[in-house]
Formats: sequence, C-alpha cells, structure tokens
Amino acid sequence: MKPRRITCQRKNRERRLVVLLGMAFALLVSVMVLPAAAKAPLSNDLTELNLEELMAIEVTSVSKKSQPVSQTASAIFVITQEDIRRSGANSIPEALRMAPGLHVARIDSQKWSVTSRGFSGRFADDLLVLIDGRTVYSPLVAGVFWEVQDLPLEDIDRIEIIRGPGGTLWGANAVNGAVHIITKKAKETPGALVTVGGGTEERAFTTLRYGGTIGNSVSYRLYGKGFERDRTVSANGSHDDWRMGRTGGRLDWDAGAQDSVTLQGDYYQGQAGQQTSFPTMIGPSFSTSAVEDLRMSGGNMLGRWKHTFGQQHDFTAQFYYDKTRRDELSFKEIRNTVDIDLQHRFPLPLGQDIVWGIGYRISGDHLRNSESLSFDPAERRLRTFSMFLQDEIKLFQEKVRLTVGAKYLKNTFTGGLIQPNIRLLYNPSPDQTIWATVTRSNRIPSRFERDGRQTIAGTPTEFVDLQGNPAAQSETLWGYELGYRAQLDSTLSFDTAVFYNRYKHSSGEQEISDSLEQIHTTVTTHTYGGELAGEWRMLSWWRLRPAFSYLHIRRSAPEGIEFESGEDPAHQASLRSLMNLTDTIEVDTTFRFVDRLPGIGVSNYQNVDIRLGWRPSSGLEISLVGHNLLENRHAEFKPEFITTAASQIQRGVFGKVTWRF
Amino acid sequence: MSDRSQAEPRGRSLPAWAGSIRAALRVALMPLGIGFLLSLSIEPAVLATEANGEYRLKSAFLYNFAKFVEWPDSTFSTSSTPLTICVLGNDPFGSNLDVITEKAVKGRALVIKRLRTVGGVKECQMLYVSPNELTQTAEIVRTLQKAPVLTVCDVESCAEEGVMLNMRMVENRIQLDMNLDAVQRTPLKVSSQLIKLTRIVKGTQ
Repeated sequence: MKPRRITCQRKNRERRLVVLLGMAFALLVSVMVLPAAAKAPLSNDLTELNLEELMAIEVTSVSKKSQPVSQTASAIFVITQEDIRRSGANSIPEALRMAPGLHVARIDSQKWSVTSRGFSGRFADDLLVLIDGRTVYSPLVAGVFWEVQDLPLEDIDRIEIIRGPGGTLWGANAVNGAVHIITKKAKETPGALVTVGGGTEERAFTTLRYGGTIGNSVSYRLYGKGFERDRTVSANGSHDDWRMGRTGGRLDWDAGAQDSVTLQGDYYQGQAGQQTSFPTMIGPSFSTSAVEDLRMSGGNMLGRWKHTFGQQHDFTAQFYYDKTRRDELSFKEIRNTVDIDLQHRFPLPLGQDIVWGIGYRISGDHLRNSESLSFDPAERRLRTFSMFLQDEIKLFQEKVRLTVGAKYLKNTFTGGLIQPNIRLLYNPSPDQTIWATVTRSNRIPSRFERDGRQTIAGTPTEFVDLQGNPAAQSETLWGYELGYRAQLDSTLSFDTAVFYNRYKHSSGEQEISDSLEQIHTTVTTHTYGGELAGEWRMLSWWRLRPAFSYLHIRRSAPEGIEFESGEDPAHQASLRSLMNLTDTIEVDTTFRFVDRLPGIGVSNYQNVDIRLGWRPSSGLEISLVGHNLLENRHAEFKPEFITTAASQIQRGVFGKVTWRF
Repeated sequence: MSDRSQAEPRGRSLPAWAGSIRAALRVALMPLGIGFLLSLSIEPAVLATEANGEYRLKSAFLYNFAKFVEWPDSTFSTSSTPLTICVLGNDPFGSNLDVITEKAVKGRALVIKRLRTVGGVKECQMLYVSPNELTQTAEIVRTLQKAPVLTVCDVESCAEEGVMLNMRMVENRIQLDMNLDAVQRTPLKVSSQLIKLTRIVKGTQ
C-alpha cells in the first residue's frame, strides 16, 4: 500500500467515435419506436372502465416518498422500487449507481467497491450498510461483502442512502454514510411472481415468489432465487464466474390495532471463481497465483415487535441472529452475530419528538489462518453496547426543526465513544428546505487492523509482512454539511449538498524493519466536496435526472507513515432519461462518467445503459437491457488487500420476463 | 501489494448441477413463452408511470363510486341538481378531477369543490379527505354524524379510523377497503357490486 502516482489518461478519437455511434443508435431506436407512440391502444378516458378493470391497472405511487425527504436534515437520497425496476439493475450495487455522490465500482464479476464521499475499496470501511435493520458490515476487514447481499430486487421497497456522517442514529462505522435497504411488507406482495432472464454476462437468473394471507391479520411471502454470471476479462485468463442460490421469507402479523410483529429470514449458498496471487521468494515476479472456487453461505433470522401507544408514541424491539461462512485460499471465516435493539419514541410538549434506544451486539468469529493472511487470536468475540437519545424540536410554526442527539458506544477494541450531532432545518416555504449539520462519528478498527498479519511482498531473501496494531485507535470524524432542496415548479426540482470533513486516526502503515510494516492510525484526512441532483419532467412522458458530484481528498501523516491515495474519482456525472413512449412501452437510458483513479492506474470512463420495457398486460413485463454499451470492456477498479486478478467489465445484454399472477 | 499475477493455464469446468439449472430454466421458459403469446391478445391495462398517473386513476375510482352508491332522494332538491364531490385539504388530483366533471351520473352533472376547512362538508355528497387532514378524522365523523356523505381516503388503514372507503396502493395497484359500520350509520346504499370488490375492515353485511 505505497503511495502511487500513476497517470494514465487515454483520450483517443476512437472512443469519441464510439460515443457518437452510441448516440446515433439510441436516436435510431427512438425514431423506430416513436410511430408506435402515436397509436396508443389504451383509451385515455379511464372513466369508461369498470371497477374490476380499474383495479387491474398498475400505477406508481409518487405520494409515498417525497414527504419525509423534504423534512430530513441530511443529504438523503431514496431509490424506490420503481427506480430499481426502470434502471435495469440486476444487483443492489448496480442499483446504487443511481445515487448521486456514491462511487460504485465493479472490481470483477462478484466483487464491488461502494463508497460515499471517499475511501473507495472493496473493504470500504466508512460506509455502514443495513438490510431491514440488520447490519451487513463485516468487522473482519471493515467493509461489506456485496456479493452475498443479493435479495430479490422485486422485494425491495426502497433504499435510503444517507451521504455524510450518521453515527448518532445509525451507530458506529456510519462515518461517511449509511445505506439502508428496506424490503416490502408481506401484505404488499400478494400472489405469485416469476422472473426469468438471461444474456451474455448475466447468463441466467430466476426468482420465484409467492405471497398470501392466513386469516385477516397474518400475511407472508416466500421466495427462491438463483443465478449464474459470466466471467469478466483478465490479462491472464479470468476465472471469476459466479453462481448463487438464495431462499427466504417474511411474515407480518397485525396483532390488533396497536401491535405488529415481523419475522423474516434468508439462507444463501454460492460459489465464485477467483485467481488469487501470493508473494514468493522466487523472482522475477516474486508472485505466484492460484485459481480457486471460493465458497460462501449464510443465513439470518430477524424478529421485530412494534407497539403503538398513539401518535408519535411507539416502542420497537428487534432481535436478530446472523451467520456467515466464507472459505477461500487466503482465509476462512465463520461468523455468528446476535443483536438486540430497543427503541422508544414519544412526544413532549412544545412540539418535541424524542427517540431513545439501547442496543447490544456480540459478533464472534472462527478463522482459519493461511500462510499469507493470519489473525491472532484466531477466534474472538467482539461486543458492542450502545445507547442514544435524540430530540427533534419544532419551532416557529414548524418552519424550523432543530435536532440534537448523541450516541454512546462501548466496544471491545477502543472502549467508550461519544457521537453527538446537531441538525437544523428551515422551510422558508413548503417548496424549499435549507439544512445544516455538525456531526462527530467514529469507525471502530477492524479485526485485521488490530489482530491481523499479511504477507504483502517477496524478496530474494525474505517476505515483507504487514502487521496489525493492538493499539489501533478509532477513526474520528468531525463533519460539517450544508444543503438546499427546492421544488422550483411542478416539473423541476433539485437537491444539493456541500461538506467538509476532518478525520483523525485514519489508518496508515509504518516501516518497522526491512521485512515488517505495521498499521498506525496516525493519518489525518481532510475532504471537501459537493453533490447536485435534479429532476426535470420535461414532458408528461419524459423525465430527465442529472447528477454531478465533486470530491477532494488531502491526507497527511507523520514522517515514515505511508498511506493510500488516489483511489477516489474527483468528478462523477450522470444523466438518466426515463421515457414512457406509450402506456406500455418504456425506454430508459443512463449515461455516466467516472473520473480516473490515479492511485491505482484506472482511467476515467463513460458508459451507457439502455433498458427497453414493454408491459403487454397488467401482470406481464418484458424487458431488454444493455449494460456498458459504449465499450467492449473497461476497468472500474483494482483489487487490493486480498490480491485477486485485475479485471475488466464487459458489455452485457440480457432479456428479462416478469410475470405476476 | 502488487497486482502481478502469473499465467494460469488451468481452466475450470462447471459442476454438474449448473447443467441441470440450465435445463430447469429451459423448462420454466416454455410455459412463459406460451403465456406471453396468449397475452398479446389481451388489452393492455398498464397506466403510464406518468407524474400523476396514480391520481388520474384514483379520480376514475371516485367517478365509479358515484355510480355505485345511492343517495336518498331528499339529498337533491331537483332531479337535475348536480352531485358535489369535495376535496378537503391539499388537492393531490389536480386537473385529473376536473376531467370527470365532463361526465354525468344518473342524469346529474358532477361538481368539484375544494375545501380548506371542515365547515362545509355537509354540503358534499362525496368527501375526499387528503392525507394531511386525516388527523382530524374524528372531528369530520362527528360533524357529519348521519349525513349522507360518502367519505373517501387513500392512506394505509384510514378506513379503520372511520372513513368509509380507502383506495389503498398494493403493489402498484389500487385495492379498496370499506368501513361498512360507517356506511350503515348513514342512509347511503352501497351497491353489492362495489361491496364485493372491497375488503371489509369494520362491520358485517
């Protein structure tokens, strides 16, 4: 992990030609489909339909999401089920590409780097990810194994993305942001759903789901899902084909007017190929590599009980158990996590809304060490206890909302931490929101940063190791944000945020001897930047959603400490176009630009995804999706830490049929 | 750490079960293909996901409610007195609701009134309560008492709170909840055709 300065910028005419050709193709497609728009078959006068026919019609609900977002004092972006459907995404990280300011990079067929406001990497340690209140952030190497977070996309109600620190409500490790994936209630998914599809990269995939009710108050759903993905392109032949199966369900019980109970669970199993390289003492490359099939499996059970006392007054208790298992040449991990959370919300006079809660988590692991990667001790239980209190006060006829709160967190590695925040929101008119925040958030050191040891290079005489540090401290951030949201008229809205973050105790490496480097949390980081996202309903059938983000990172450290740099894009831009050519035909196009990553030698890239959707009847949808259409293949990231072969992502086309009955 | 990797001549063959997945997919695709061909003959019934598609559809529901509910004769002074549909609070329908005023129900024209306060609700034959106003459901019910006013809302479990009809969104479609207790307290008569399409959340027939 040396600081690298590699400039590789390829700006050739060839690529521009491809861009032009792609645009011409898109234009041609629209011209061919447009005449169909003129003869829309469905009568525009819905009053001529009877009640049964009306009840069969599908619409998207716009009323659900907008309200709360306008009253949130943070840089929040919500991806709805409808957004996911129209994006042509086939996995959660792909869907996250829609969120402005997130950097989503596909490392190979199954590995991803997803980050908010910097610190990219497969183990992006400052982004917390939750699925229905269950954390999927791995404390082993600090980050998320995105390849095993692959619920059926049709079950997702929405994904809430909070850029910027959220330690007070979300807990540790939400330093740069939090992603919360929320699935639908069982009663919102009645009947059967079948999706089947396949193509060049997404070789084959299918989801089966059935939802029903037991009596009046219990609803449930069960699902099964399987897929196979093709390998990417790698210099020495690639082996990263990937297949997985997953099953699970959810049960919701409305036990009277005041109580509701949810039980849900999943189980998954899969294997993925990879080529891992290991240091050797034999030149000239001092490296050897092995092809393997890594195996992963896991499951979870979650129960939640909510009791409603009255308006803004409720109590929630949640419990979950989560098991993950991962077996590859570098290491093997079995992890068991048990978590319990209690939360109570109640109103106080003068328009106050109080939320407080306590939580306790034990995460225990059993690790198998290898010659290249080891942990001492090989088994360890990490405990986290937390409690928080937050008060939202409405002032000046609810035009101003002041939120103050703090979380106290005690953990095995670094003891007690306090994460306070102050948020102020002002609505000068119902169409405008101005907000500002000051937050302190922490990241707990990973198991590797504390207990790990990795062989990182070979020389003719000895190996060079990187060793963890039992004195590694929690990374601490003070973050300052300012945001503005406005609905300019019924067709145009935008949302913008700027931030300045100052981190202490970021991770770096110090050379102890010729053959040993050690982790030292003495790096200081400053970042600033901003995001802008807009939505323009240009015509009743054509929407445009532009987004732009900028990020600047500056790091400094005492003499002799090395740190990573240049792994985050300074600029990102995207434009989504959503067209309803007729009542049944949709054409959705996404263009995106991602700046170069100079530190790991990845050049900038631009690409286009296109989705053609057709809904011949109310329950049936047929779509054709093309991903990364502008280039044959391109690199988005390079593997680090566990050094698997560098990959290039190929153009992919697939078809998909979704049938509800 | 370096990204250098050696040439690796060894390829991997797929495990046996991958083949059987493919076979299963082929079998699964066949009935879907047939279903697809059949569906081509079915009238398309998906409303464009346009900005206000949801409320365009809901306004068509309001029109249908007017057709399937009978008001006592004493409600109208003459046989051609128009039927008044009121919207209490912020109007989410916009121009969609004005479209149905071009229609007539049983010889009566439809008139739309937009109300800011609960005061005038007794003058309405149908009252749509917008989501923001649902906090005062109890007061609305108290004001109306036994007056023949059909109340409609569109928020999860608002019919349980005392509103007669709820146009609930479930999986992008609208389902109807009915509070039969609330209906039966008034002289309104609801057609059995409408009742059988609703989920009764309170009361029995």
